[in-house]
Amino acid sequence: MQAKEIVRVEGLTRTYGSGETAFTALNQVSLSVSQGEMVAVMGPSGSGKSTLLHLIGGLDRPTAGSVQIDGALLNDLNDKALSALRRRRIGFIFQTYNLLPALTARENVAMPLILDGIRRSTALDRAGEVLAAVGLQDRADYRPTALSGGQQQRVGIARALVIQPALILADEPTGALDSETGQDIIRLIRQLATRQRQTIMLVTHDARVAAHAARIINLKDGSIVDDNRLKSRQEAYDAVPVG
Amino acid sequence: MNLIFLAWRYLMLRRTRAALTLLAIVFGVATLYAANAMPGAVQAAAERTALGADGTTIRLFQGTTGRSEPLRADMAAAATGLSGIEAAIFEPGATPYDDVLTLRLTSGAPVVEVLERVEAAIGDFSVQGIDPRRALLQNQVLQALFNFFGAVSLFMGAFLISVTFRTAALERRRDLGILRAIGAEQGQVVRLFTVEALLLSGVGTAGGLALGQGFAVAMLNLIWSMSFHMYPLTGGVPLHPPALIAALAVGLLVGVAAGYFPARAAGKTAPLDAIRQDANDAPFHDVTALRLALGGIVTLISLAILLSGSAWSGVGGLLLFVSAALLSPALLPPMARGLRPFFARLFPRLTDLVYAGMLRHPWRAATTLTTLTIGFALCVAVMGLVSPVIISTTQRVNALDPERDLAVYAWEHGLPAALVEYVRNRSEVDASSLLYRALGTASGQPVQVVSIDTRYGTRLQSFNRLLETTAADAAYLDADAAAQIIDGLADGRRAIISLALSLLTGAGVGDAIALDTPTGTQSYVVAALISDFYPETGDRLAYLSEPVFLADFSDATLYGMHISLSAPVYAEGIGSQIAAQFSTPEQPITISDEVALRERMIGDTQRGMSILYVLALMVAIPSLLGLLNTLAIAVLERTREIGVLRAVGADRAQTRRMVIVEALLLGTMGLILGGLVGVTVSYGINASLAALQAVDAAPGIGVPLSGFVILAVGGLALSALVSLLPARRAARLEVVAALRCE
Repeated sequence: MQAKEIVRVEGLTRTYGSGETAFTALNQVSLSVSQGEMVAVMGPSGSGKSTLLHLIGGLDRPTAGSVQIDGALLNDLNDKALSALRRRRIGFIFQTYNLLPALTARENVAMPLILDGIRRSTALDRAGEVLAAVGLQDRADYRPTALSGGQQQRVGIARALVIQPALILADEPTGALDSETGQDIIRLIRQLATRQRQTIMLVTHDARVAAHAARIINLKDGSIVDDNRLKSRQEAYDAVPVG
Repeated sequence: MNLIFLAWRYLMLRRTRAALTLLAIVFGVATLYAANAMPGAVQAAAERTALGADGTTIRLFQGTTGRSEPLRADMAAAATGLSGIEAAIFEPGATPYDDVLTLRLTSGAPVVEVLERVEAAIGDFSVQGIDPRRALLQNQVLQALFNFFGAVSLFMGAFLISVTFRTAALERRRDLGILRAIGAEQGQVVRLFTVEALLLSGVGTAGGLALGQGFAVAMLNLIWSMSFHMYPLTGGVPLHPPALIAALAVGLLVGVAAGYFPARAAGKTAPLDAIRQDANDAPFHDVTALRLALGGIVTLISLAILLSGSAWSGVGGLLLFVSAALLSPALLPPMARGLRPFFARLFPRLTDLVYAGMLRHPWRAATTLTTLTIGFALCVAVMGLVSPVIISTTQRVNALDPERDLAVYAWEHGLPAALVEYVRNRSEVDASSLLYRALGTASGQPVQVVSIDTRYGTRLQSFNRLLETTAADAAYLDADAAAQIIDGLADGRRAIISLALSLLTGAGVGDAIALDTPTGTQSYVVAALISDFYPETGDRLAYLSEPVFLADFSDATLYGMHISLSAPVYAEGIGSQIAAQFSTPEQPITISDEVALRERMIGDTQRGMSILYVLALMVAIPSLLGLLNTLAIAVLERTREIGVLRAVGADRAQTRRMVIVEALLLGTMGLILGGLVGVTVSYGINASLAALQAVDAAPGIGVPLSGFVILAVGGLALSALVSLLPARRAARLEVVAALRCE
């Protein structure tokens, strides 16, 4: 049986500015990602990695082309529907964690559920369970400022997973962490997502991080230069462009 | 609602700023509530004095300030048919002046409306007690003034809420972006801010109502203590439901509206922009042409209302405050440029930095400027309203009561001869005059006849009320004409008679009046009329010069003595010695120390006016809180800049001074703008009060230069003082941490 298609991108283009100062960050990109796949998006700075991720996540609107997530065409959605899609189907993990400093770890994790109208106590209970899954049960009532970088990113992961999304988008999730913690984090993401057959797309510069993925897409100047499905870790290392 | 906890958490995170904003609402709602609760209590007290013991009877008479024609029996019938009147009875007195029309009101009938109906049916009249119609007029003026302060106060509250939320939206730009990224809808972001505004305005309004009730109680107790009329005002201060509901509604509505608009703008934030963008570089709306045009139009409308002297001057004043808020962003750069040479001379090393920081965030600086402008303008306006009244009262009282006078009275039993002897033998006494009284008869009615020493007559306060013609055509004499009449009183048999006696006898100025005396019926030429009464005797009075009085009235009682001292310092000592030696519980002697009397009168006026000062303070405090708020925001916003400055060599003291100099610059600009707005508003309100004949003062600017100088120095000192806290925070920033701050 063929795996369900979670992400479908066709002719995706994003241009910033206009006239002489116009800059095309992404140019006619098309790709498809199936359920349970883990895809690493790589490329040099300014190659359009983050732009691609933001467009897939509905954080930005394309200049041309289309994005479908789990069958829903993002181009057709208004702000309300797009917001609902983000809080129900997509889990974001950011490089700088992007936690709300006013809230505790547990409340941060519960936020997408609360925004979705789930009762606060239920949301906090579920958040506690997910925090336990990322190993932070004893830090649940700490504010982000009282947590280390690695711990903050675990909270970020828990927040992304609490909604049991179809798609997890991670933008340089280990970029602000030391390499050992980074490895722990990426293993955690993969381990938790695999249980639920969740799809992961992550942007990274780090070959060791990309090596966890089964597919590596390389971008350059806004276009896909190669898209490799890999069978082994060694193949993954080999697929990482040098320089 | 799911987001309440988040709103609460954000409020708690910025506790100080939330508290400052809260205070602005508290003061606004308190003033507005008191403005509407107090007049009701005053009105009720006035109505109680007019209504008899049974609470339904009201007695009308011709009176000295009422109609010139006597009341008539047929008026009872005319009044009986009117709504709210159960019965009307005409009771003829010994003279037309004593005729009384007694009305019995139906239970719960509105007293003022009933009296107005009666007036429409039978013409004007006097009311026994305090005329509730007049109390209402004074109340309306008081209420209008209070409402003006309340409205300005709330405007300030709304302004601060709006500033707080716009700043919060800026500061939380990143947080909002995160919320939007994880699925918050625009509506949810708007609701988050609106819930915060509702929490703030809800708590603020509740606090404001409590403070307002306390304020109303304090002010009314002051008014009760000052009402020294024949019918003193008293009463409790019950909660006033209409005022309560109005203040509650306005407080909540203003708070939520002020929070909603920044919230709507924040809701529209694109999540990606918000996450990426440095809050410091967030674009803020510049001075738009629309804002300028709107500010210009509002200014013109407000000036037209204010300068016309119409009863709407309060609204005009409020509009001028609104236009100051609209125009201050446009006025800030040229004013700042104008002041630059001055500040460059005072603070050569810091001016460039201060200007660069301030003009890079013109919106924030304009917000502070607006807050300060409103605060200063209110202080100036109140000064302009209060000073003329205090100055004119002080001048009048000073002119009337020479400092070296002391008066002793014993109306009933008379003064003992030993007291006269004692006073005359004192070396501190320059001169003294004796006051006699006796009963005479005119047209068969008793008349109180009083002697005056013509040397002192002009000093008597009552003679300020001398009239030159008749009661119907009353015109007060000026001081010179009054003095001339008193001087000429001993020139043959001449008399000054009260209006009541004039009505009894039909005698006007220049006519002869016949009085029965122990030496037979004597004829006196009426020199002037006087609007006067003695509580002890009633309204029918005749004043004769001392020699004429002593010649005609052999059965006189020596009831008083005016004592002229060589120096005012002796008044208190001699007064207390007389009291100790001659006053007994059975035969008390009233000692009127003129210095004390004058001080009491001036004090009463000042206490009355202090209500306005308290009101101004209630609005000025939020202004200073606003300054503290915006300066604190300035430091927060510029944390990274301050880090850079420190990194390139600015020391802590320089950093501190930078914030203080900015506060001084904004304070100076606020003083200039606030001075202009305040003077214009006070001129407008004075003109309309004069037009309403609500106060003695003539329309004018009325802001004393000395007062303005004190305000300027005090205002700038407070600006600097308030800036100390954020300045300290700026100076204490650690360079590395500040540089890391986004």
